[in-house]
Amino acid sequence: MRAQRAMRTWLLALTLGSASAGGCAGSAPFSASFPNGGERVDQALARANAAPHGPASAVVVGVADAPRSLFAYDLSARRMLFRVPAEAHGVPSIAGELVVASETTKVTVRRLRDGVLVQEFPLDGMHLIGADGDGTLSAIVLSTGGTMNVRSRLLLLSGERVSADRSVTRGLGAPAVRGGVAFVPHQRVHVSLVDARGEELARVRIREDVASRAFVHGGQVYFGQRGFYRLDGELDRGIQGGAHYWKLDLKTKLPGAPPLLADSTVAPAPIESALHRVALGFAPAMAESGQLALQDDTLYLAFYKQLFALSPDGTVARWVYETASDVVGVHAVAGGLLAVESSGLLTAIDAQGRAAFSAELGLQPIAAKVRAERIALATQDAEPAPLTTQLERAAQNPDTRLVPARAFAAQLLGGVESDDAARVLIALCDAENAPGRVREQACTTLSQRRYVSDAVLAALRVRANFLEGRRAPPLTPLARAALQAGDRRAAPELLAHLADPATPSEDLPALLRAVAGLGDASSAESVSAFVRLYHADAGDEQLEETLTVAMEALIKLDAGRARGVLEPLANDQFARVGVRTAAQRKLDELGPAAPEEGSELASEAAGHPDASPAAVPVAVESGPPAHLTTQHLDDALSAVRPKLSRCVREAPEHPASARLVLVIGGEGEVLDVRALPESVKGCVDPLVRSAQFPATKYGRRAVMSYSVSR
Amino acid sequence: MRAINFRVVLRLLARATLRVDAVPAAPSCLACHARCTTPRDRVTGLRHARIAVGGVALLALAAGTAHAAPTKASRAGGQASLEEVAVMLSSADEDEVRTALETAATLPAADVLPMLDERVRAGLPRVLLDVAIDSLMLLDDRGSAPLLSDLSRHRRPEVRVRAIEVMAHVKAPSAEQVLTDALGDQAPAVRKAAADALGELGSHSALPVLERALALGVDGAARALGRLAKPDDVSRLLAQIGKLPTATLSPMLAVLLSRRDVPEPDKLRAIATVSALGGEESQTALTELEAQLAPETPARVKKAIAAAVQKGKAE
Repeated sequence: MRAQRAMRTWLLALTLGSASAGGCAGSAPFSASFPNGGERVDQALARANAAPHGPASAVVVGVADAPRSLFAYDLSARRMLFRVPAEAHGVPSIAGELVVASETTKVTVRRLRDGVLVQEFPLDGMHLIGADGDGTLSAIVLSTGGTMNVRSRLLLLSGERVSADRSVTRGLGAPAVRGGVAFVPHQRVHVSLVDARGEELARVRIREDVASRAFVHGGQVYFGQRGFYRLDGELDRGIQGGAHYWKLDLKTKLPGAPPLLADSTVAPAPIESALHRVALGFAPAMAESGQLALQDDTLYLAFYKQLFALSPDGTVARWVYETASDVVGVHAVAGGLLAVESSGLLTAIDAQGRAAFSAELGLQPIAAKVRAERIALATQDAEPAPLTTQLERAAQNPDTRLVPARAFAAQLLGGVESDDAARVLIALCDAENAPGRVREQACTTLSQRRYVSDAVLAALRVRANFLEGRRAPPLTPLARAALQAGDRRAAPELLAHLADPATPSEDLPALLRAVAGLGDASSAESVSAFVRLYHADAGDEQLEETLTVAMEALIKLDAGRARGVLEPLANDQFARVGVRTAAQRKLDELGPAAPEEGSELASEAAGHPDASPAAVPVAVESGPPAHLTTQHLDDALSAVRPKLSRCVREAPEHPASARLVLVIGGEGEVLDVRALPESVKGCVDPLVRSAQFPATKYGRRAVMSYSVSR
Repeated sequence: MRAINFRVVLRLLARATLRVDAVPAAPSCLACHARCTTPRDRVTGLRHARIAVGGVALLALAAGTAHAAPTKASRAGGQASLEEVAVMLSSADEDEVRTALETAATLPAADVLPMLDERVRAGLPRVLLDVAIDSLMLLDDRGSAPLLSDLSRHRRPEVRVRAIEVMAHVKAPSAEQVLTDALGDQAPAVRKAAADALGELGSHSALPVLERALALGVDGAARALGRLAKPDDVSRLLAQIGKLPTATLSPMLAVLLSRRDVPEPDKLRAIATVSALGGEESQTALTELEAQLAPETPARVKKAIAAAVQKGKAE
């Protein structure tokens, strides 16, 4: 009986406990039924914000090698706080006045000021996800990561004493601590506000991003992954409703693709991993518009030995700074950036990309983390090198690991308007010894520039010459650049390269497209000569394709001339089928030729039946001409041209046009008529012979060709 | 009597003459490119071919005049072929165009050059373009220079080579500039052709550019320099011995040693300098020089080179 009573009491307690956990503040944290938002959030935030916020001491913590050790360095006092031997295998975290690191199979907690070990916990198959502190409360999160069978552990320390230790079967993210409240991301969509006893005070939920990591900057709590939210009273409204949120929205891929905030479900990379040498640096700030933004409107990228200060979308460089050794830790501060190098050099870089100060740590860090919100950056008098020069140096750095960043530097040159930038891009694009990726990027960037450039023009003036050791310049990107800029000055140079046998075949289409796009009608003659000369010489598909592009260019430049060039081509049996077909297709696109003024068709169309063919005068100047010209031929045949066209239309082969070769005697008599296709000869012969050609001054025979279209 | 079609006779005769492979007395390069190894051979072959074609054409004319009915074409005398050529050039038949191109070589250059120019610029397939260039060589007229100059910048190197050879052959006033430009061509064969052509053209003013070409190892430059150098230039050129590989200079030395206008002391000094270099390369060069000496080379030079070869062997 007593046993039954005891059982009932236990069940009641269990039930009440469950109910309490399901909906009441002060319950076990991270339960599925805890309500989101509401007044609790405001109350918890008010409690957190009530505590005064002063900038924490500026420190660098990290792992050094030879021997492997943990260290902490006071940036303000410029002195080493401690260096203790430790088999650390992850980047340590700064949690208020504590340093938290994963070492062998445990997590250690040391005092920041002297490195004394105050706590240690077994990792138990988990990773150190993150830790933070405000001087009174520290929060440490361990987790297995992943998405299945996840285990996590939240450790809360008041001072150096553990005040709460919560193990949960869900994923926890990196915490932040402000005003005695721990902000713990969990389940990728929640952030729970937890007090020092481990009681969940409030919870927020987000829908637009992932709650992976939380951090404090300027007394405000932020969290996110692809972007970051500010955790304030507006958060409940969502992004559309006015929540403060900034998203990393890159318009270009950054080298190494470092994350803005690391994914807490992914195990941290080993400390030796190169991933620790490729990182983004940023700090949140409120813009004047009231929108959340980046401090100094700048996103920093560290890539081994190169530091880029970029516009938030990554497309515009503010400066580039190159270090002597690999950067193993970066941290954005107001007006600049702090960088820790593997050589032990710590450098503060100002907003112009100049080294404001540097300090020697006296050890060789493998990875480092910096905590600093404000650092006094000494004013520099020296003018920084022009941005073009900075980018040029970055693009030419011989370190093979830097190839992606070098290509990125070349890409950034595209946004620099100066002609020097074009010059550098041309040199990079043409540099035989540069890595393919850098060259390719430089060429692509050059192609996309829209600025009129003397450098492009000067490069186009270069001709290949073996004796002078010159190769053809990178013509495709140069031609595209000239086209993008609409620089008609380039047309003659492009045509000169079209006629230059040293021009690589693969560059010809780009040249022709640029010539066509620039629209200088005087270019038509050269293009026409090219099409005519090579149309029957095309031995491969590449030249065939080039000829097709040339035909398009010709039509764009001078449709009238194009018809005269393309008609014979379409019927030339010596040309490859592809060339003939292309010519015919282009002719079809051009449509039927407009009837010539004064012709029968034109007269009919104009409603002037009196304008008979006989009335068309033959152009003979005062006295016979010295020789026959095309104009004489046109004039003489204009009367019969409609009938000639009919002959072509009715020919059994249905040709688009026919080519006539006329042998005309000195008295204007027709000696011979040849036609291609031959089937039209019978029809055209009497028509041609009926035409009256002028006599020539010296009685010389003339052999002339004449095209008749349908 | 049956009327003879002059055009057909001429075409057949021309084809028969120009396409006979085994004509030892007149090795036409139009038909035997494989046997003509040097531009000089080709020019000689083409001259022979021209004579042959011209003769056959005259025979044809005679036959036509003697047996043909008096047609409009025959009334025009020799100019009739011009009309026929013009018509055939426009043909879609490869054989007809080839015949026209070949026949054009037998007609007055002033009449046919404009037609050939127009036909080439209107686009010819590869085989026919070769024939057209051959005809330009046979015509041997400076009026072809503008077309040849353009063809010296054709996209196919083999066309450029042939245009350069013809350009030098017709000795067009603009040839030197064209050939000098061609020395900078990216194709080695074109550079060699240009160097050879400058040597053939006798362009002394091209010496500086040929010297640069020599330093860069352009094939043919050494031989051209040997041909073009004036006695005043010889000392400067000989100063290259020891600076450039002897094998590179060897063709130049061979020509200089054979030339009568080069002072004998210079020749002896050249032999001594090469000999003093010593080594296998020097020995090979001297042996080759000895073998290449022209019969009219002065005895002292012959003796000096023989002595140098012996000395090299002894060492």
